Amino acid sequence: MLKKIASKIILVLLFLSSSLLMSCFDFIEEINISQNGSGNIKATLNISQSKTQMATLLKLDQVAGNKIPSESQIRQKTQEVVEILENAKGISNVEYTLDFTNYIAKLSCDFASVEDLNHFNATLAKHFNSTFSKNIAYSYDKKNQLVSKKFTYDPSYAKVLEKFSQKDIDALKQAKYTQVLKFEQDVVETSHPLSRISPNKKGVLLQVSVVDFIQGNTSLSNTINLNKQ
Amino acid sequence: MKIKHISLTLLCAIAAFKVQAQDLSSKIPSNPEFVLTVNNKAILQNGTPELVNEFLEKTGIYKELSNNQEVHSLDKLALDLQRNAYMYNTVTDSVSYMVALLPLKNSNFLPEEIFPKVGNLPQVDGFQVNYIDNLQSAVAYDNNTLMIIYPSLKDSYFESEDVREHYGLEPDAVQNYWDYDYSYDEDEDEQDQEWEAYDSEQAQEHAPGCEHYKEPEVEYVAGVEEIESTQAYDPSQEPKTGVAMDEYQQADEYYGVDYQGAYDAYQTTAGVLLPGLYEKSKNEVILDSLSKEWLVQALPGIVTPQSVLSQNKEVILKDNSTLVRFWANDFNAFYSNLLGTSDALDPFGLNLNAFKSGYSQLQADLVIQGNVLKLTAEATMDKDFATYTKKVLKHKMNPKIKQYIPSEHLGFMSLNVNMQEYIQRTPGMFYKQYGKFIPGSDDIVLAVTTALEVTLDSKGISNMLPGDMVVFINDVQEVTKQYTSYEWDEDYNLVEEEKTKQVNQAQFLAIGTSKDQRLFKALLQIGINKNDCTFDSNTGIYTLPDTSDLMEVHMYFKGDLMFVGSDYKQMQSIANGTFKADPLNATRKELSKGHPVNIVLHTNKLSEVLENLDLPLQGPIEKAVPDLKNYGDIQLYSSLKGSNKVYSELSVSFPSQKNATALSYLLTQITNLYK
Repeated sequence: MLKKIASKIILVLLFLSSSLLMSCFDFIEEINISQNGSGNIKATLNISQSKTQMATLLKLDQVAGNKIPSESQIRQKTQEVVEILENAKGISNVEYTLDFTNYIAKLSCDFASVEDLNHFNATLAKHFNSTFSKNIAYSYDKKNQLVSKKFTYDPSYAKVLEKFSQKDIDALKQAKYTQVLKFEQDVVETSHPLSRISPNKKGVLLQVSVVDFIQGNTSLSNTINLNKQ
Repeated sequence: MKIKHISLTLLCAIAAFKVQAQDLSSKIPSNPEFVLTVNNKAILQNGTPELVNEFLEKTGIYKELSNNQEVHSLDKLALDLQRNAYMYNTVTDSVSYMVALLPLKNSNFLPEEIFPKVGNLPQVDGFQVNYIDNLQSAVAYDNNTLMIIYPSLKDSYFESEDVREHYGLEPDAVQNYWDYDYSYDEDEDEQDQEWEAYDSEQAQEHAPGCEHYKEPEVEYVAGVEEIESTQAYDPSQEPKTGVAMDEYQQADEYYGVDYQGAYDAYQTTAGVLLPGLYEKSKNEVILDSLSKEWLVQALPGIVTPQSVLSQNKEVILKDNSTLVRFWANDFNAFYSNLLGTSDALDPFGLNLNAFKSGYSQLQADLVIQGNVLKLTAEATMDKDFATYTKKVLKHKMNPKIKQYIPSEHLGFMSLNVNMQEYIQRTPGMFYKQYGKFIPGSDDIVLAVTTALEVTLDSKGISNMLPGDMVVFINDVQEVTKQYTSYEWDEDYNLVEEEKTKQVNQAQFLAIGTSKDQRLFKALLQIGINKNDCTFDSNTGIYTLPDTSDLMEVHMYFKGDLMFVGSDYKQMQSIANGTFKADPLNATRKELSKGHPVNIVLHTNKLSEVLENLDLPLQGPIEKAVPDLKNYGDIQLYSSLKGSNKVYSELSVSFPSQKNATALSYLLTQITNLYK
């Protein structure tokens, strides 16, 4: 769903992390999907561990020729994203918070159907003139109770890391992307080898290293087989 | 072309030949706005000819200069760099001339395309004269000297309505241009028809750049010095003599300057120009013609000034350590001209000319002393400002501060002024300097400054803060920082947790004298009552929590000293008397000098700190960090000098190498960048 935002933010964070040798950042995506396919999503970007460096960074105009956005510019861009979300088909109840003390950003919304996540991705892709989200597609097969996320890896992602030293890449390996999917039905099985099913069978957690994902060592694709009731 | 002249000027500073000749300061008029002296001999001695040669070769300056001629050696240059080069500026109310004076060893080495052979050009007092860049500038030279002259009209002169009228300048052209309403008006059919009837081809023929376009011509001839000079227009003289216009017209005719004809070409296209553009173009043509005309007229006086400055020893550099000197005899006039101000008010209604800096003469030097590069500035103060400064800066730093110099500090910043004198005298000085700044409000400024003098308890405030304070930047230390983390419970519900981690952070310690600490303690007590700070009764240390993710701040009072710092352990050691002061004497000696302002950074300690701090350094800066270990201190301080001068110095100690100076080190570093 918020993959587009995630992609944009992650690319910026990669740069920032490299600049600051930040120990880590976390991008967390929680999606609750009800039986009828509607649900809500909450994305959390947590840079709290590196808040001292972030405070330093935001005082700078640019680093190594790359312009650093100001707090007001970040707020403005976030507001733009929120407006797009509010007008996207099937998206409602959009809320966000930006905490510039702990450097935690949260964005949440409701969606009418799983496919609306794809509409939303497409809208944001157009806004940011990016192709990233084209490689992500959600689907919900109600008949067979299959929820799937298909992700097609593009080798060009890895080129981003070519600018970084090995020292920077090692530091970046602590940065994590986490997705939690929760359902009303029980989860029977998942296709991603790193994903885990909660003891109550209602949730699936997938956590991967951002570097592994960018280098193509780990896929984000996952198919979740739900119990047919 | 201009790039070439600038390169020539630069080259003048970096080559040497053994030719004895008259110092070019004899060509500087007695009233320059400023003089810049370049000590070529010292530059070569400190930089070595081999390094300078390599620098010019690798950086491409030779190539830039040679203009298709192969130059790879200082020997091939026309410039005599055993003598000083100068640059100065002379100013009248209407025009200023920037003049570069470059010593020549032989004019035959000058490139012919700019400097045709002697005899092919008109002469002024034995100098060959060539006007270049379409009369925008001029060169004059003999076998000993090369002058490059750039005129620049002063906008402020042409702001006068009388002057504008006299020269036929359109008023407020720029204003008209921006004020024009560009919105489409459907009712203006007639205007539309005029636009349709416009012949674009014809208009282009009269546009600059077209082969039919004629630049306003200004003819210059040999013996120009015989011509009666037309000085800039002075409206106050015109009614008395009644001949001013005639003189201008005669001069215009003589030099072939036809203002009316010059912008007639524009006039034919005026119908297609937006309102304001026509006036702007017309003004540009007139001003351009004036600049050219005045340059021709001024040249004899520039080549042979009637009175010269050479008696003024300040501008002549003979020692081997001062590379460059900037000298301005009247800092206020220099500053005013720099702003381009006139008697008229600026757009914000301020009279910038009314600002009095308190400084008269200013001298700034670039000095090499072994591996140390210094930029020094020495300003002479007027009587009032000197008295004020002496009183305010006369203060003895509390000697007890020196007992608390932290070992392993990265640097320090000290301030040492007499707070009581400062509070008493600053309002009055402010009135003198800024009182006329806002027209019609000097009485208000006087009232406010007097009120400040009367109401501020200077003695009371100076008891709280007498004016001496030192801030030390300590070494980096690990501190505990709290952060937010997200975990999951067994049902994969998000759980927010507060965690801690160790991060490196540079610490600071500020020490100042405070004889009356009651107010500080009362304010801290209010903070304690509101839980905004804490007080440890065992140690006597106040702590202000880390509220903005910077650092905790601790305060402690001991005798007449007040300590503020971020390192709690250090503050404890001060409180319990176990503080270990820096055993080295360098910082102690610096503080003993009692400079009003003194900032020192121990660069050699910075390298490790920067690496530990994880600061966002990339590219050349990141590569340069390890080299900082070899550097000495960077220092900036200011002090009183004599009875009426204030002196400031910025110095950088480069790595100390055998037979190398700061300049040779810099040249080597720059040259290496081009390898």
